[in-house]
Amino acid sequence: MHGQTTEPGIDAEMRQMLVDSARRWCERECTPAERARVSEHDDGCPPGRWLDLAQLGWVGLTLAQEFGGVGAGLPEQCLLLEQLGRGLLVEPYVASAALGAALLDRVAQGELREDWLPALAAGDRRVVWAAWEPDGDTHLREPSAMSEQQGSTWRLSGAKGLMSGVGGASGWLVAAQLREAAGQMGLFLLEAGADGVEIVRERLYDGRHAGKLSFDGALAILLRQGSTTDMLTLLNEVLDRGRVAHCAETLGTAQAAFDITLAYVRTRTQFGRALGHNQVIQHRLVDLYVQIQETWALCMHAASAATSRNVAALCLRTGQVARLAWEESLQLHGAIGMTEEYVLGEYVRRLALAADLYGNGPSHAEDLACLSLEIAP
Amino acid sequence: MRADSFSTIDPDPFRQAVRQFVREKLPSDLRKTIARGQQPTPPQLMAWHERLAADGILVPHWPAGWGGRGWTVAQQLIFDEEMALGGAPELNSITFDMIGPVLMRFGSAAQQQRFLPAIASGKQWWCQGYSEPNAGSDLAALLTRAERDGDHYVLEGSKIWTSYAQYADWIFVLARTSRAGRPQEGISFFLVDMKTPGITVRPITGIHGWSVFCEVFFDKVRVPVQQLVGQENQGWTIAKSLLEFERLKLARIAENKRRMARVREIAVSRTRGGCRVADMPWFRARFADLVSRLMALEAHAGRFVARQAAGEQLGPEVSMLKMRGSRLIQLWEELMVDALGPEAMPLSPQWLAGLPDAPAQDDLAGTASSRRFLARGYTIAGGTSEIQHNIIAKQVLAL
Repeated sequence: MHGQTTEPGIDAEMRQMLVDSARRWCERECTPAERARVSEHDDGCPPGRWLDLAQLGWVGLTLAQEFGGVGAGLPEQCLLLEQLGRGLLVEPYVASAALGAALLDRVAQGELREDWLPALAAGDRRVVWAAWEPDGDTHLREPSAMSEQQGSTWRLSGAKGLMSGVGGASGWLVAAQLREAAGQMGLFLLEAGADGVEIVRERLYDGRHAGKLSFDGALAILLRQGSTTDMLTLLNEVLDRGRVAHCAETLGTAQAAFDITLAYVRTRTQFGRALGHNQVIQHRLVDLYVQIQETWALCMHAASAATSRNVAALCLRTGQVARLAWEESLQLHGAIGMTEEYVLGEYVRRLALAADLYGNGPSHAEDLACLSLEIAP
Repeated sequence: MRADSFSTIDPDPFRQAVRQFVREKLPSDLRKTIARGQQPTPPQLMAWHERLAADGILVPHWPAGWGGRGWTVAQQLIFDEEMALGGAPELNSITFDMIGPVLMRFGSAAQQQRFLPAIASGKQWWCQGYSEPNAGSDLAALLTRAERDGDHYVLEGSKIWTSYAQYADWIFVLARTSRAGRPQEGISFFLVDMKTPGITVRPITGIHGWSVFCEVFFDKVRVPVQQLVGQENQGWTIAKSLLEFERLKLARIAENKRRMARVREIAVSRTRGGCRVADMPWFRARFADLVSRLMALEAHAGRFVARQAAGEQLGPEVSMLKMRGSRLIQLWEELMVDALGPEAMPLSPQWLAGLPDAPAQDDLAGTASSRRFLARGYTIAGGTSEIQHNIIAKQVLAL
């Protein structure tokens, strides 16, 4: 699915190196046994492995070279994520690198920037944007959390909904209203260990970890403040790019589930011939294959031009492809696909959750309808 | 090659030039016919072809030596899109995308001189004599015979589903010249004047009310040997190569966008129960689904265009574009009918035929039901979707 030269960014040779090294790393480090070990970790992100990912240059892939990053773009990040998705990476790469670090990079200034970005790129620290409200709505809106200024410090009270990678992070980015300024909101950095912060950790159905934050009078650093409209625009831009990254990872997983299924129907024999000799099996696999290819093309397009419309369309298609991939691969395997022992189950669970992780189909469809109906196409 | 507003390779000015051309030059009667979803008449189309030829944009994808401009696929796709969104009719791909390039590649110098300028001038219309009553998807099973008799071949047999044969000046015909070897090995490719004695055309009325395809009967039709293309029994190779030209166009991005615009127009102009169709949840969900499919198709086609532009030879995987693009057209047509509701149900044969004295119907609704049925042909013609699935299963997935 990868290896095209039409998108801007680093050159084709570097892209190929990135893809090859990611594939090799996943073959070695994302075995079922390794994945199980990572899932057993309290936060689903053992620090040693996160350091490995950072040393490979992947955590800071899109950060500037002056901070120890690679200075690549979203298309490269998508190529990497396709491989990580194939390998069913357990670690919260999208939540931490594609969303958390990208948002901090966008808003952090001065000393804080000098301090945090190199630490993120090096893998010494990890930051997660706790973007959702406690009710789990995946549309950004005026936050329910409240901030209060006391002299030169800020204190936050409120809660955030379930977000990947929250447990074990060095800091969280949280949006809150400003008590003294109606119609304004702020984006804050809440550092791990701050008094008054509580985390509820959850192990998710696909082996990944997530958490809910609540904070009561917790000390926080104000990164950016502005009108609610302006702030939501900024946050949505970053969220949209993170969604593209998430789709790339999900499509990698879908492609892997497809590959496993294709190999299975070639070798499994019934009625004296391989399952794959039956036209009904062939046509269903072709439908899945074509939709993965098509959606991957849209993903790379959206990675180069992450407009709200492109991202809404991509998320809608990716959710549908993820669903089709797990349903079809399971059905075409037959009963073996239902067993915990067989490898497919992990892909099934990952795809089922990934389809709705950063917004569900109906909500992406509504966004796309809004963006497509009111303007002449 | 002429220097004019279409000479730029910069996509934006190029797009603007095409848009302006359609706005200014598309005849108002033809614009009206297309807006109503009716079938343009042959005189309307021939006038439009000649108009395009006069500006050098009827066969812009042909090489300059044959009256083209050597446009890239990317330019052609922009051109097609602006023509469709500007309300111009889809051009006849049999004539301009198929037989022209076939003659450039396989035709003799005399055949090229005789036919290419005539096609490029917009004055000659071709149809494709491939399918037969017992040779549809299994084209190699065709039975129409061509027997050598002196300086002529004598054609005997019949073709079916021949689009617009009733209007065509010429037909290219696959006929059996040998029974030896595999069925594919005994087929030859002929150019036949539709006025040759012994040819009978019987238009077939479709379930949509239009006669878009025909049966063509050949009763001892004498075809001069100069009208054999390539070698005798080499026809299968030529027939297959023809399917390779302009395959990227088979995504039908422009035709899909034309329909998307039409669906939107219906949805924002209709209310039911006091609610705009565009505001109804069921409509919004289906519309968004199709929009996202079109965007994915376009991105997918874009990758093929880039690969081709980089000099890569495209393989059988291009079938994916045809499969998805043709189905999507049907889904737009279905959404149009559903969005129109009862408005799409009445039948007016006079309106369908575009008769001047037809009682007036709504532009968007008057032909919607006919068009939904017409659109079913997209997944049947040019290799059914099932054949496309077989091709990908066998040649891409190696199943």
